[in-house]
Amino acid sequence: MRDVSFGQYYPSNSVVHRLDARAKLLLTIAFIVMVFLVDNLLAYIPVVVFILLVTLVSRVPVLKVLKSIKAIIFIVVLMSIINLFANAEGEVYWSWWRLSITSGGVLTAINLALRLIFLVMGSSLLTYTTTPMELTDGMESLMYPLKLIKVPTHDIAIIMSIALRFIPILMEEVDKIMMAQKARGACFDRGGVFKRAKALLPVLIPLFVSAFRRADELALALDARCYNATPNRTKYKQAKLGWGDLVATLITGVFITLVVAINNNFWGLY
Amino acid sequence: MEQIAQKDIVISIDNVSYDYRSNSDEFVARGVKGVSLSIERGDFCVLLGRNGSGKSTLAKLLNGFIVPDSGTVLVNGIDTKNDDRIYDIRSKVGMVFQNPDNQMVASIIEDDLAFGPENLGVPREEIEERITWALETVNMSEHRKRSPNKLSGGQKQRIAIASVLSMLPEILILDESTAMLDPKGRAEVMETAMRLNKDKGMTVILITHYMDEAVGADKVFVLSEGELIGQGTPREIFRDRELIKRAYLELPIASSISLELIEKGYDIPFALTDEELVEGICKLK
Amino acid sequence: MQIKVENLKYTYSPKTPFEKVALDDITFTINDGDTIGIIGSTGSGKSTLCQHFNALIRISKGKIYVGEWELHAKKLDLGALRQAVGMLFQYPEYQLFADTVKDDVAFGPINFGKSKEDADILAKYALELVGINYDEVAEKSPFELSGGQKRRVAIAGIIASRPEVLVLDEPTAGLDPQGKREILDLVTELKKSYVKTVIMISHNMDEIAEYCNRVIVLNDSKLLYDTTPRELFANKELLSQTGLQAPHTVRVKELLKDRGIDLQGTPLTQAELISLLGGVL
Repeated sequence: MRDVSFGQYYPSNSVVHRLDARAKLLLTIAFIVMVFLVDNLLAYIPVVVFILLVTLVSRVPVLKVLKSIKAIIFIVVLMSIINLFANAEGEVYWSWWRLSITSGGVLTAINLALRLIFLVMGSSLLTYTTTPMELTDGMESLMYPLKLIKVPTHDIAIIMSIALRFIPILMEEVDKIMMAQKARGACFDRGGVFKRAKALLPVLIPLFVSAFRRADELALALDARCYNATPNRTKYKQAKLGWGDLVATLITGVFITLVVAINNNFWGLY
Repeated sequence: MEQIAQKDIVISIDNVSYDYRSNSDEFVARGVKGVSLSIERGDFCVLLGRNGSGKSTLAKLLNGFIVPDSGTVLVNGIDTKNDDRIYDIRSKVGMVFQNPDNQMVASIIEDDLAFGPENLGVPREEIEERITWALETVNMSEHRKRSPNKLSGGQKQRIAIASVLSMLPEILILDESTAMLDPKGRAEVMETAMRLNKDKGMTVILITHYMDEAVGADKVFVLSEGELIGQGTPREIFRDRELIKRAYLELPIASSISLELIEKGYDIPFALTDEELVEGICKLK
Repeated sequence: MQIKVENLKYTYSPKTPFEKVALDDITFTINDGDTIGIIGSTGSGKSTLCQHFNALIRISKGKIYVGEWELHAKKLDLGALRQAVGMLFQYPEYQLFADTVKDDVAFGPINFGKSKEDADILAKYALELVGINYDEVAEKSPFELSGGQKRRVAIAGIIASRPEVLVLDEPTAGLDPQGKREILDLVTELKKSYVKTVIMISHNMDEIAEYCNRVIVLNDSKLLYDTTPRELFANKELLSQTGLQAPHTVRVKELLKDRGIDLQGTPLTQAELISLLGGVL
């Protein structure tokens, strides 16, 4: 079985879990924007502290949050290496042919790596503490203005919810089909790119056939449960902004101010 | 306007035929042909037939997923051809399918149960009550806030039943809902369906090719090649060896043995279950 | 080809919070010519065990010998092993992929190094063996076939490689009574060909009783019994520990015993039960 824990809901009844999904979505976006504005290493200290605090309060195991980084570690390393050489400003530490490592390059690389890591940690905290349904409902609610110009926001939300539900099921299916084809002598890790891609056909075709079959049945199931029966659809989980959301927004606001202040050396710390 | 024609008939199918056609209206396969039957309120009915016999086509006709080429299907007196009333029919005829994974829309169980009532515009507080009730009915209350992914097949299928129950249907159709389950899961689903029928008076239509699931039914319908070739109590149906053979089915083992003993000249009654068979043998001694 | 399993242990997601022991200290031997049933409730480790036999799962602890192969060795000729140990997964019709039935069945042999011509001959032979009308079906798309036919084609896709050992994971799941009967009769037929040993996972005790000469009972990742169906089903206590139900024929015998009628022997098939009943009536 492969690890599909990334982005999966971690059930708990913590304060963070109970926050409104819309608030969490917007705050996460604010957090991500902030992380990309920061370029001073010192300012990352409060970011780390903040992530740790939110993790502790949310009762999601720290290890789980750290594990979410594993999925993108390759991209982080790759992007860092590219940036390491791309920036040629500052003191030269090492150089060979047209490549050189400079203090500017090192700084850019570290900056970028940290940003990506914080980005993934922040967003996985969101998905760990918010059920896919809340998340999609929240997005639907935030997309409300689009509804006024006849964008089918509710259908979009249902599509996202179904996608989230079927990802683990299809992953398992890929495993099963690969095993079955391996039993018939298929080999997925030999040869060049072209050969490998071709070797995947016996997996991809059954996977698509199965996905279509599932979609067929799912469409019947949606109809059977009166999807689109009335335009006056109700919502079981009515998200209401509460005190908690206000407090969370304020705390995040204070924290963002703090980070920006440190980043711009407002207090002359360095 | 529509009056229920007869007091106790919830579903009546009159001379219904349906063929599967391609988009260009070419004949692809026969669904059902000239089927007439009626189902009484509160009955536990079993639709038996081998794969491709037309049983699932019949189920789809009951829910208005497809409408007959000829003939009529009335559910609670409403014609399934009546587009304006289609959701009245679908909310009253709850349908559970074969693969539990392909009928859940949400990643949290209570959200999945809420989906039907939400679509029908049921007020929030009432949805809450319905979820609590439906989960209790299928004995899955403790799973309310969990994901369906880690459940066993039988548990998933019970959730699928609960997700339909939350629409408060009068008729429950289980369209081969036990086919993919292991014996334990099958027993769980059968127990749930039986209990709904006995305790809540729910009309249940079970579509299956497991003979032992038909043994406890009030009424059995046998389909073969799209035609209804037999209907009656399980006792009447399984006595008729020729009929079962014509439908490419097999008798429950107890019935098969009792019939064979009768043919050998032993004076024992026809048996549906192992217990009846043993009873008969003991009487003979 | 003998299969010897020694102290096999397997753990899912080791060293994580999701760690789960799937197989615990399993030891048994499968002999040439056996039709062996692997039974146990869902999650008892049946599929995990069987996926070791052709090294789809590599051994983490313990040993398995399949004929000359040592599956616990570091270097292993996977191709040759998987050709000799064919494995049919649950709902195998969902793994069909090629444009034509013929090409789908030839997929295995080609992977195992046969030329296109030889693979086609093997495919033809295998399709005929599973009772498919070659001339009528060979050029069709596998997706056009009926459910029962698809499953036959999938089985042909495994046996085309001429395996000596055939592992079947719930081969009759989802089929109607006639379809079930046909597949099981096919398995019996296959054993008269080059397939010497059949390993079958099943939840259907009536099938196990009728078709297997031996059973392995797994319970909670441990091997509980290694015995014959007759012995397993003769012993009510043995059976009740596993949570498995006895076949109908055995149930009838037990019920009669409770009523004071003791049939001598354990009937595994309907015919056996009727002849035993003939003795007491």
